[in-house]
Amino acid sequence: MKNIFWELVKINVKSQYSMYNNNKKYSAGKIVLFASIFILAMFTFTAYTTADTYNSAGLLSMVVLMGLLYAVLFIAMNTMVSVSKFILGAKDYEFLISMPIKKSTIVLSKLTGLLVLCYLMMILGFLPFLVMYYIYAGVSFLSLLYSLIILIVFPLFPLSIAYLLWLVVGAITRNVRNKQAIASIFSVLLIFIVIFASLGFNDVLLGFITNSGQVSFASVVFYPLILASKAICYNDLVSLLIMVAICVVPTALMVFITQKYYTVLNYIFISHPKPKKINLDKPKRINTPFVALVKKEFQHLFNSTMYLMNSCIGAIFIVIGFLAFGILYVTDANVAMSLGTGDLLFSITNFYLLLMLSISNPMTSSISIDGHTWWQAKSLPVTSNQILWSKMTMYLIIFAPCAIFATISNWIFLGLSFGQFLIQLLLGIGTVLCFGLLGLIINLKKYNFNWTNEMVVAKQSMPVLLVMLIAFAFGLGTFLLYIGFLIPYISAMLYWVIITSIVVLFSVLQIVYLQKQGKRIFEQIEG
Amino acid sequence: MLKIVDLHKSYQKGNEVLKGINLTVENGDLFAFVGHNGAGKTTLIKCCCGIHDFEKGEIKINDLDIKSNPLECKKLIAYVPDNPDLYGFMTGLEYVEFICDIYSIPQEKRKNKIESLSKRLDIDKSLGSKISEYSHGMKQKIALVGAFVRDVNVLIFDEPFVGLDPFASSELKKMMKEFCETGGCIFFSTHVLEVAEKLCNKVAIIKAGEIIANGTMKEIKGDKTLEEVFLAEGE
Repeated sequence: MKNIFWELVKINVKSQYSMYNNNKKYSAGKIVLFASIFILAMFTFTAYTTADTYNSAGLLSMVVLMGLLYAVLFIAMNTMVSVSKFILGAKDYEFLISMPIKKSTIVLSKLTGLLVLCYLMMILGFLPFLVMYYIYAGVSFLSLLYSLIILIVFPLFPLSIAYLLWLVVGAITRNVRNKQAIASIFSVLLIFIVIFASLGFNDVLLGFITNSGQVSFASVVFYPLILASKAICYNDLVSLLIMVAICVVPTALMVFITQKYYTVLNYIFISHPKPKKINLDKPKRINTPFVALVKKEFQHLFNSTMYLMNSCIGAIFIVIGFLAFGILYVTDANVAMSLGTGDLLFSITNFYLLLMLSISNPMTSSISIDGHTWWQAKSLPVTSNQILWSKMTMYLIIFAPCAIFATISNWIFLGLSFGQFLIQLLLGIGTVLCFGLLGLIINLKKYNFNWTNEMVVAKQSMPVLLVMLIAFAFGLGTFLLYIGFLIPYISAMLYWVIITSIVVLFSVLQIVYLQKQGKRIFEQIEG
Repeated sequence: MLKIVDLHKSYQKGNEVLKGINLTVENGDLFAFVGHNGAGKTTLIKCCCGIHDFEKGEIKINDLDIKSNPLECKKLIAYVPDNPDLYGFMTGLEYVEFICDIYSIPQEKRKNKIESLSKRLDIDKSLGSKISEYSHGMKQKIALVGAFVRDVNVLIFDEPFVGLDPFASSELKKMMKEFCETGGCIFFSTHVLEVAEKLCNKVAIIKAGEIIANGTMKEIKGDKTLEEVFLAEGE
């Protein structure tokens, strides 16, 4: 039975991150490794800048808290996405339940599979911050021991809370049409509650550092994080024990409910809503073939939680991030002072814009997303350009307004000149177009129609990871080139005009390539 | 009309799947295409629909070459595969409306056609449900509605009767006959030889990428049943 359990765990982990690639050169293992290194590098960079800033302010413990916050967000998101496809209402439910395997073995293997991935998120999100903390604060045996316990136990908290919340959402939306979209919106809202709660971070921090903080909304939301941070930073055993208890109780509840009501819960998550009432007499808008194709892309997006979550949350983060950035600049003198004004501020905001666009779009325009329905695009009387541009159009509709919003926000709050605003606007839109096209072109060459869920192509595929990496390197490279070398020789305005021109030129070249070679490659794809 | 001349197709170099296929499906023909699993039926069908490319030969739809005029040819054909992987995120109605948009079918015409076709295939009550919730048979039905709703001249079906209930199967046979009576032609693969025998006026047998029998039903089977002919040819 033990072997069956681990066999099932292995299958569950594979099915959640099932990465097939038609190109043998890029095996699933390599993609995981590549993605992990990329994410780890990004978070190490973030952890370093955070640690450096907080160390100067004498608030080093905040680094641990920040790392835990990232881990919570990742684990919660991953859990919410995974519950309704891999644990409950999964495709293998009927198959597994018909086998001579104990129900408890099935349930525990599924939850363990999810926990394994939570540990991966913990390592990627939290570990870089923990390492940075120890680099600045020094290491003690007790602190390391507590850290290890926290690494093992802490993921249970966001996992179980997100899981239990998702059960409630699943039960509420069981008969609702478009429940996928509703569920996605709910999970995004939930994450924003956590983010907005972090606006009270200073209160939490004060209470955390001095042990005299008053109970606030933020301190309640972050309570388990505060306890874990206290245990690591101050070797506080009591905090550690309370945190372990906080993590174990909802976990036990999650296991108990799932084991006891596994069949009922699966019924709830598999249940189909009543058919939509249709009225054929009602006049409908007749779309052109291109509009019909774009509409189809959006219908796909809004009917898949994984696809929607992975695509839109990045876009929302850009909007909220830049708005918060602008407000902080206006209201917090320290922030305004550290960012400066004029050329430096213009360059920093351009860098942030490029960075946010690169890390917030774990989705590129993709032909792989069509999967097994690919034959339809090939058999319908539409041109390859119409198909390819319908995908690009959706991508642009999602991300271009975000870039525009970020630029306008910078213009209003940061007082950029009209010229700077115009260049930043062009840079933002150009970057969205440029990397969307790059994703589409790489995807044309490295397509994959054999995926099991949209997450594989919307987030984990080689084209998406490559584009993220290239865009990230481009953002960082252009900024460092200017700040590190060119600042004495060239004005910021001229430099960013040149960079924008390069982006626009590269976009134009890609459009030409797509029109000519892309069409040819597309027509040769047989799926 | 569908005309296939000396068609060669291989997935890997030196491994030809189709070895010089010649077939003509005239207007009014109900043409059955039978063969073993892996004989090349689906590959040939996919070549005819512009899904697969081919190395040598030509495929003409109403005298238009599919290689040089893919778009115009695709406007004249409707294809239903053996396992219709449709857009599961759409409702049945949204899918048919999508097809109508692509083929620019006017509002009044599409309304009447969707209504009558969905009723005939008994899928009208499920038009408001997501395709992902459909059974295999229901997917087949909505794919067939999507095929018949178009104003095309050639219908190409790969195993169209698989998964259909007896009622829908019988209705589909009637619809196929009606389509051919009004000047269209249908080219379809099937393993149900009795259906092919009763329904079609022409038949072709494919074996290992080659056509081993091709002609009118009378010419091919003579006094025997199609099953007897097929089994004898297959030996």
